[in-house]
Amino acid sequence: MTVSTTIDRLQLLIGDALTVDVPGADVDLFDAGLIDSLGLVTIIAEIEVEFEVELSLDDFDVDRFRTIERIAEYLADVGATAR
Amino acid sequence: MRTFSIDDPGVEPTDDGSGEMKETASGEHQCADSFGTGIQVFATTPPSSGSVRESYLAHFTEVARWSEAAGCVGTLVYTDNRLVDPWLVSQAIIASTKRVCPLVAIQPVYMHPYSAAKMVASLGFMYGRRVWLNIVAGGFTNDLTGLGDYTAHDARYERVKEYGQIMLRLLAGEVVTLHGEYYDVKNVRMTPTLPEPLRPGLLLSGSSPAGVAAARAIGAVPVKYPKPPGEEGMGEGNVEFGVRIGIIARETDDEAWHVARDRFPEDRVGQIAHSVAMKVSDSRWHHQLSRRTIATASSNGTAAEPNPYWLGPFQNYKTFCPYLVGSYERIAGLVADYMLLGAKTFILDVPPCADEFLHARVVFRAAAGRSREHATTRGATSTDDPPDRDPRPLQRPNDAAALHALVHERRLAE
Repeated sequence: MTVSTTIDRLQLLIGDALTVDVPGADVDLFDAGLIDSLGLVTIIAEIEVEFEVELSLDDFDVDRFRTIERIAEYLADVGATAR
Repeated sequence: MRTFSIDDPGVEPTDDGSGEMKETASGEHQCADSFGTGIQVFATTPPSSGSVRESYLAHFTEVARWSEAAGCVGTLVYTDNRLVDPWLVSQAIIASTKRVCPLVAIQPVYMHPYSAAKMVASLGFMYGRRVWLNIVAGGFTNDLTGLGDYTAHDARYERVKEYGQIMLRLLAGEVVTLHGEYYDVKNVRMTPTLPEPLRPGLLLSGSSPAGVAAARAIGAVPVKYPKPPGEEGMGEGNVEFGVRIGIIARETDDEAWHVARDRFPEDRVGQIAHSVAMKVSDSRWHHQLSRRTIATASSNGTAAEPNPYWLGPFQNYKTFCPYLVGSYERIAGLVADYMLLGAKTFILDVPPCADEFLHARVVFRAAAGRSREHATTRGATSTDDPPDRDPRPLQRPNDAAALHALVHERRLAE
């Protein structure tokens, strides 16, 4: 699975989970006010279900989840897009 | 046959049995100590987050009545950006109870000290009820920066000092002028005036040196999420301190752990929430607790026994405090250790039901007895030494038997 596919899936996932429209994969989700820490929890939980992965609890720095691009890169790093 | 209800717990009353405020030698009216133990036990009010809106008011006022009937001094109403306003919750608690005191969490970012003092004075004027205050400096940086506050950790405690000084001086009836670093007030006084017996009891959350220093500066009792007694030191300067902790105690360890795991099962979303929360908190407490492993060696445990100091609820984001889980005897021993170290204030977690207080009462009464005996035995020896375990069994059978009898009676009555 490619990163671009992952980005598409993440955009759908975040939009559905938080009922928001994400304008672009490079938009800072926090600065744009689209998510807060509670929303981040929701997103991580949904990612684990969608990508069938259990992420490390040590990895949940906000910076890893600022944009959809960064989330996709992180998922690629941990092999979550390789299945 | 006498019927039992939580309004009539049936064990010895905590003071004169009147349920009224007591007058001290200084003339101050105070809520009595809890469970006849000489210590102050507070409950915690259920938070609005995760509660059902339609039933929240009825639920937390019912919990307040449980706390009152059980003999708690008060009930903590905490605050952060996600929760309903603690003053409004506190007013509802006062209106639906007779004597239990709200322990209102106040955060300088949310309210000017004049306004906080005005709340205390107004509640005193309207209801004649004393409130306690739990000053928090603010641990979740996102909460603070969202409101434009970028004050650093230790500086927030400097701000708390000014905050507390202004508030307390206003409530003492002074005309206050203070040109501080964070607040600037001039010739301000509080109306309505607050009768001296209604002046607030004061706690301050924080275990860092800056937090303890701030508590000392304004005469507050520092409150922390404690480490196990074997690792917890005396309060700095041997000063009194408070702990926020959950207790699940039953006749046996097995029974207590069954209840504990049933109440706080592992929850992946909770673990994620806990991890995210720790990333956005600069609270020393949270990080100290978070770094701990569940399998910490216990001061009184063995490898074959579960460690009674349990962080499961904290790690699953169900609460912020550690829990003590085990038999009445074992948990009473740990609570007695905290008392011997200087803890005179205990803030328990949100109770799931009224009967939970009966179990806590067994623990606290036994712990207080053990603590008193220990202090008497030690006499004038140094209090800097860590507490030794008292090998003698607690007077558990009496208390436990009383509890079983009460529960049995209640079931029959139902």
